[in-house]
Amino acid sequence: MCRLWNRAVTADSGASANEFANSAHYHRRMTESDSIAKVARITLLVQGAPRATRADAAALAFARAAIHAGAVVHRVFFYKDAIYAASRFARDEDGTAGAWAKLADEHGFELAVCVAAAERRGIVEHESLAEGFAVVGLGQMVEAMEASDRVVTFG
Amino acid sequence: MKSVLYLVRRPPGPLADETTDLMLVSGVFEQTTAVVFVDDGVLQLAGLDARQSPLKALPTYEVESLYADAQSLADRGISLDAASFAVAPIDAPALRELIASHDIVLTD
Repeated sequence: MCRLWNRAVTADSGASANEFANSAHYHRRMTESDSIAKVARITLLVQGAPRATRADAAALAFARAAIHAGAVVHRVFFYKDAIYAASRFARDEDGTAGAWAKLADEHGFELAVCVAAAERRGIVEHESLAEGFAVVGLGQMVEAMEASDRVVTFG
Repeated sequence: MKSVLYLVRRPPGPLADETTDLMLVSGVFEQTTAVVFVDDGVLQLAGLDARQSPLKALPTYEVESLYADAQSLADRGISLDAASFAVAPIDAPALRELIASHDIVLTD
């Protein structure tokens, strides 16, 4: 059984997560365990600020790689300063919001933004949130943990 | 419910408090919740008696499995005696065991 999918994986920083997602180790493991990867349901917890960290970009790269390897993304939960990644005001070429929305739409998963973290930072649903993102409570992160085989944190 | 370990490595502050909020929600939903303070995370335990911190609410939400890396404490000269609630110092092998024994490990 593949160790990667056999227990919780955490990625400490955006940069290391990205290196991890691109590493030969990661791809080899995914190939060895196709049957596991196909049924793996994952949730990503994104916490680092966009631009200040690579958290949102690394999470996006990881999500693409995981889907490519056959995993199902259950939910991407934006918390702390990562909620800025859901802002509708970032230019497309500078932000990840458009790319997240496209990936989520294609693969049917939820882009969740913590309501408390968003309101603390002046991000309000229907006004400042990009299309495809939904404001939810922290309880949805707990639900995602329960519903997922693996949870990976970024930043 | 699943068992969740919060691996706390950041110093005290608003971002640390948001992680604590998530721990409290884990507690409310009756996940088996443990917290381990490592590296600068142990700074959250310094002088707790004298200041406001949402960490103090953890026992109220039945989050009572609280640990701190002994080496991180020693490196920073922090004594657990001052903490408002019971935090058990653990060594590196115990930390490894803690990580291995939980369904989910979340970093802050």
